[in-house]
Amino acid sequence: MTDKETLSSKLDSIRPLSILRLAVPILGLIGIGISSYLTYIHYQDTSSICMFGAKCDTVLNSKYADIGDVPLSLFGLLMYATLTALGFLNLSQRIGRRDVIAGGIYMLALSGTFFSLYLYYLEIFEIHDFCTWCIGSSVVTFALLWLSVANLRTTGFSFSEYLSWLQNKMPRFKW
Amino acid sequence: MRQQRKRKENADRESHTLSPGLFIAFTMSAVVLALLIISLSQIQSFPTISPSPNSSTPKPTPTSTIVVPSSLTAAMSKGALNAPVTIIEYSDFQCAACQTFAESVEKELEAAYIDTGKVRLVYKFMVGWGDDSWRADEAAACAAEQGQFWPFYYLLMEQHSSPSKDNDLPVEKLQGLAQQLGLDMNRFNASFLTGKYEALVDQQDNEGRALGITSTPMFFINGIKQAGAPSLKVLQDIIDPILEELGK
Repeated sequence: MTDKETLSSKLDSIRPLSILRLAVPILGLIGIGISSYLTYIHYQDTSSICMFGAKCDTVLNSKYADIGDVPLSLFGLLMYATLTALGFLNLSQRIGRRDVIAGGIYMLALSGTFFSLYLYYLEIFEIHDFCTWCIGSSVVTFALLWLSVANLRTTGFSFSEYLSWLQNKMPRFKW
Repeated sequence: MRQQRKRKENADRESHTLSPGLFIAFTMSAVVLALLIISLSQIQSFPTISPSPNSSTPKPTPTSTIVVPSSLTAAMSKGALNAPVTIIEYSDFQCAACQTFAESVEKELEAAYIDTGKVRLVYKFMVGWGDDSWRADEAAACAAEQGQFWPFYYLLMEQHSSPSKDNDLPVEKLQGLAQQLGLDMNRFNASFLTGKYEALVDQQDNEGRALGITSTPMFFINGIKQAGAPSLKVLQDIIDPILEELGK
């Protein structure tokens, strides 16, 4: 094997993993940007820049936008900050328990996705208006969930193995 | 050599593989976390509640144990924060006596005592009548959110709304008053139409009922109860001795 071939095979084995891993903190930083802006808007008590004819202020000032005086965007900011930190940690080659890091990213992204779906429900059925920033944030969360699952798979996790493990643990039924 | 590297990679990969047990634990944790935040956002309409400015001074007023959102408390009060006398007014926008007080004695009280830093007036909602009262209170709270409680209060009192007329203060009329004052209508509607301050109105109304209020307006002047729409003289007879006692 020539040096060139060795380098190419090395790159092939590293590249897909790195892109998947790198995308997590990048998306996390985008999420931090969106949620920081919304948190700033809340505490500055000003109107937001809203695109595509959506009514961001209607959504952001609704009774669903805060838990007490704490805006939901602050919770989002915390979530994205943790995801970004985990994402950067996951980039390190020396990390010991990559399974826990990848699992943590998956857990946060999954709970963020559930919460985004709940916010979509509120926007459609209760508030009857949309906020472009909230949609942007949910797209970031959905993408993070997809990435986190892909990431889990690159660590060797397989859903078929998981299902067979589950089957072994479950009492046997005759269908 | 190549096989050795492959074996190492596989071993590495296996040591980093999420076990099915951990996968279930993470999935369940995600569900629990999402449900927790959803229920928190539903239960607590006003969870970050701070004491009203009056509670910083130990006066025997009914507010000393009552807490409401600080920004609204400030917007629904007038007069110096350190005024020696605090008057808490429980009022209703559809009550004729409250309307009379707002249009006459309150203005005299403002000139003689509030503007001179001797009295602080704190407004509290009482839902004396039905849906119209309730709607008006919520609209006033939405105006307070934009720091325009008092202009909205006077405008609303000037309408002389009466509980004898059904649907006398419909949503459109209250929105019209807000527009007349030049409030940010997107913001007003966002709060008003989603019932953002329903819990606040309910809280203050319950608070008033717990204090035994059965008619409006009702005043607590440093804890001294005064019912009805008092004249300035009646108020003076209560306020002046307090000021004298405090040496103000």
